[in-house]
Formats: sequence, C-alpha cells, structure tokens
Amino acid sequence: MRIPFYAVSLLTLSILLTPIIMPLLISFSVSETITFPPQGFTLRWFGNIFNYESFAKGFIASSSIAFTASFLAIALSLPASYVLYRHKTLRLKGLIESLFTLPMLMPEIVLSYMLLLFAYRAMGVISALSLIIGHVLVVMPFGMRVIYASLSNLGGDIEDAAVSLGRDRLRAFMDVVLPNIKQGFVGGSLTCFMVSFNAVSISLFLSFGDSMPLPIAMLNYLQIRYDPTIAALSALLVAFTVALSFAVERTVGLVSQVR
Amino acid sequence: MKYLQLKGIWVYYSKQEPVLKGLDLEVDKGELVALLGPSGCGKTTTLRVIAGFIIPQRGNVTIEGRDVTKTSAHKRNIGIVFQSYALFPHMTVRLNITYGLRIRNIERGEMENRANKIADMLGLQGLEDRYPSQLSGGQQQRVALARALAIQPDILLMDEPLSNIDPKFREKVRAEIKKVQRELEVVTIYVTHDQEDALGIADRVAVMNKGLIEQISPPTEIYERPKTSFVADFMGFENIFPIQLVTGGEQPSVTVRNVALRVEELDRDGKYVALHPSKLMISTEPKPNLEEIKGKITDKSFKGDRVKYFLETALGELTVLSSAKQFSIGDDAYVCYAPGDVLVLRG
Repeated sequence: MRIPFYAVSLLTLSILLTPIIMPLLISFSVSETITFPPQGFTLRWFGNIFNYESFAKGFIASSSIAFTASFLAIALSLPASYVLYRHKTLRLKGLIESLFTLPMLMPEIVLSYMLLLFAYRAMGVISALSLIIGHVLVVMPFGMRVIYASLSNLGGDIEDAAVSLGRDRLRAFMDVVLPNIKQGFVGGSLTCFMVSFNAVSISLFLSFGDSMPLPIAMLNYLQIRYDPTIAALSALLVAFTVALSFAVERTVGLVSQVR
Repeated sequence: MKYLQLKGIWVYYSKQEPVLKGLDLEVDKGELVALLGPSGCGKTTTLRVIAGFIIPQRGNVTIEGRDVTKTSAHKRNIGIVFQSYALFPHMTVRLNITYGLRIRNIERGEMENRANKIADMLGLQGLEDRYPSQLSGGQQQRVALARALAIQPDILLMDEPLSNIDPKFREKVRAEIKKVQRELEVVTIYVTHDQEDALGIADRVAVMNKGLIEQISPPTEIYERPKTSFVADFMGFENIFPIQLVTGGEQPSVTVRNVALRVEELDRDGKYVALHPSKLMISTEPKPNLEEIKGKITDKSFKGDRVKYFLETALGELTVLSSAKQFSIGDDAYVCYAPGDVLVLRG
C-alpha cells in the first residue's frame, strides 16, 4: 500500500520541481549556451550577473515596486475587509466581495493594456505612479483574500468582547483583532510582494526610462545573449523566494506554535 | 423603580421586517431573566441592544433610571458571555480575566485580588498561565464568565452559554452559573432557545416571538399556565386546537371540531385550547370523575420511563405521554382528562 503511494508522490514532486531544478543545474554549466545536461562546473555565470548593471538596478526597482505595491495593497485591503467582516448584512455584499477579487480573473495582459491607455489619457505620461497603481491593482485581490479570510476565521465576537470590557472600537481592534490576524498580514504581504515581483506584463507595459524591473531586464538580456547567466539569476531568485518564505515561517509560524 | 428597563424598542434594517417591534422588558435588581424563543425571534438583537452594539431606531433603555440608549457600548459596564466565548487567543487566562481591569487602571494589588477571587469562585486556579486553546470547552466557558464578571458589571448578558457544552454536563454548568449569579446578585439576561435551559435557570422566563415578548412569568407559571398558543407550543403542549364555540352554563365547555371539551372556567374570549401530553391519561375504559375522548392508537415512541402515544380522535391527532406501556399500535383506547387541565388561550 505504502510503496505505490510514495512512488506517485515522488513522481508528482519531480514533475513539479524539474522546471525549478533544471536552471539550477544549467547555471553551473561551463557551456556558453543553455544546454542540458550541463557540462563541467563553474561559478562564472553567477559572477556575470553582477557585471550586468541592469540586473542589480532591476532587482532594486522590482523590490521597491513590490514593496510599495504590497504595502499599499495591504493598507487598502485592511479597511475594505474590515467593513465586509463587520457588516454581515451589508447590501450587495456578494457583489462588493467579488468586485475586489475581480482583477485576479482579468487577463493580466488586458489589464496592462487598459492601464497603459488610462495612464496616457488621464495622466498624460507613464510614470512611477502609474506603474505602482498597476501593481497595486494586480496584487490587491491576493492581499484582500488572505486578510478577509483571517478576519472571518477570527469572528467578530472578540472585538465586541473587548468593547464590552471597556475599550473603544479602534483600540479594541488594535488590542485583540490585529495581533490575531498577524499571520494573515505577513502571509498577505508576502504573497503580494511575490505576485508584484512576477507581474511581467504590467511591468512590460508600464515601465519607463530607467525604472526597468528585473523580469524586463532578464527578457531584454535573453534577446541579446543566450548564455546561462539567466539560469544563474533564476537560481538566485529561487533561493531568494525560499529564504523569504523561510524567514516568514520562522517569525510568524513560530508564534502560532506557541499558542 | 426597575433596575433595567427597555421601553418600546424598535429595531429594523432597511426594508426588511422589523427585528424588534416595540419590545418592553423590566428587570428587577438581582434577577435572572431568560429570553426564550426560536431563532430569528429577536432575542439576540435584544441582548445587543442592552449591550449597546445596536442603537434602536425607537424606544429607550434605562439602567437604574439612567437613560443609556445612546451610550457607547464601551461605557456601559456590561459583562457579556458570548456563545463562541470570544476569548482572546493571544492572551493567557490571567490576561483574559484582567483585561477589563487593566483598561480601568485598577491598582495592581486590587486587580490581582479580584482576579484571584473570581478564578477561585469558578474553579480556575492553576489554569491562569494557560492559553485559551489549551483549555477544554467547559474551562473556556468559565474563563469567559470570569472575564465578564471581573469588571463587576451592572448587568451580565449571556448568549446561549450552554450550546457548546456537552449535554451531559449542561445541568452542572447551569447550576454553577446560577450559583455565581446568586452570590454576586448581578442582574442577568440569559438568551437561549432551549426550554429546559430557560426553565432550569431563570427567575422569570420571557418567551419571545417575532420581535415581541409574548409572556414573561416565573418558570412554573409559564410552564403550567402559558397565555398564548405560541408559548404553550414552546412549553410542550403538543395538543393545541382552535376553538369553534364557547358554551356557558352549569357545565362550561369549548367546542373543537364539533366535540365539546369540558373546562373548569368559562372564558368567552378563548381562541385556542391546549392539552399537555403529560396531563392526559390513556385507558381501556372511561374513568370516574374524568372526561374522556375515544381514539385509536396510530403510533407510539418509547421515552424511557414513559411512552408517547399518538391517537386518532374526533378532535384530530392527540399526543399522550403515559407511564402505561401495555398499549400497542391499532388499539382502541380512551384519552381521559380533568376539566381543570384543559387550558383555554386567548391568542
């Protein structure tokens, strides 16, 4: 019974992980082009990443965009989720709820194109602002989902309990609601950050001048050269993601185990 | 002057049917009143109006003569035990219990004193450093009660506090709540949909229906003498029939489906007649001094010390709860009753 179960699990895992492991292996290959199986061993391509200025700049641009967009998305999600969670009898509640998650269903490329049009028409020019707005729109449904879910799981009674014991609404929220949705907060922020970091088409349509996000820099590089530098960079990004998730798990995850 | 007064409370949301329709309620000092009713009758809304979470569109709430209708919930000094207990998961038992005291800036020694006293009273010693998730359901419930009582509330509100307790322990917990409530003499409003729960704990039971209190009386009175068919139905009067005709004279009676039922007192305004299954007897022949109705047993269900029989009679279906176990389905039998047990209701 057990052996077929493990065999299937292993097969599934390997299918899922192959696309992630392949660039990892290729990134150490001596070959000048992307070839599989990799030949020899070198760290040259990793060094190469830092020779190409656009990557470092792109990483900083992407990170700042992702950071700002997640921050804004979470800041907007919190009050929106709060209203939906407190007012169970709100009219058109279902409609409002789906409205907030709608951008998730919209093809990103369509959204990007419309935003580009909007940016030209309404603001005259694409700028950091339009890029940020685009990213916020794309990531907000993810933040909203996580935060709304953690609020709903918590239930409204504990806030009412704190109020009945003498705290006003705002401080009751700070005292007893916020500490208990911390995980949703961190989880939501991380999800937003990752989604924004990976939102290629929004960046592609709305990036401008110097502010070239990392995925765009990578695409540009690939058009010129076909060496394992991109594989090495991908490997670094995988490590970055894993480290980030791990850090979150350590900080928030541990707290949850104490309780 | 009554301790707590609700006068003409109306609550409605937009175009829907009002939740409370001019509800009145008066509670004396130290009293425990149970609000009993089916879901949607407005009992929880009444609780939330008293708590201050809902401001009624019309009517007012007074506590010891002070009008608190518009007072914010956090300024009312009302303790609440929620159905979900609503303990703060990130705080220990001690921090949960002292939460309200810390807000009131009570001096440390006094605070510990009060917290210890209340913890002792509810048997929570030794659990002070645990988190709510490390407690059993019954313990969580006691912490919720301790937290609400620690602030020495003017009024204690309890929303279905026993619904998450194992049925085996309900009676014990109910007795515990009653004991603490008596000891502290705190005015308590206790919401429940369970008839047994309400009758077992309350000084007075208020049966609610569609946003109004239909009857408020001490448990024995409301059980024995319900005033309306709705209350009677809630108290387990399974045999309720509309009255066609009221006849006076030497032997007053009411007529249901062309069958005359003897009654003790005449009430010309009677609309329904109610017979409690446990007040009826089942017998093979008529009994002296009792009235009888002939019927045929259509079904029976075993209830332990008693058997519930369903009979087809000229009145319609009658339910009888009897200790006689020898009757079987299909038997012809007489349902006997004393005229004094025939309850005539006006609504």
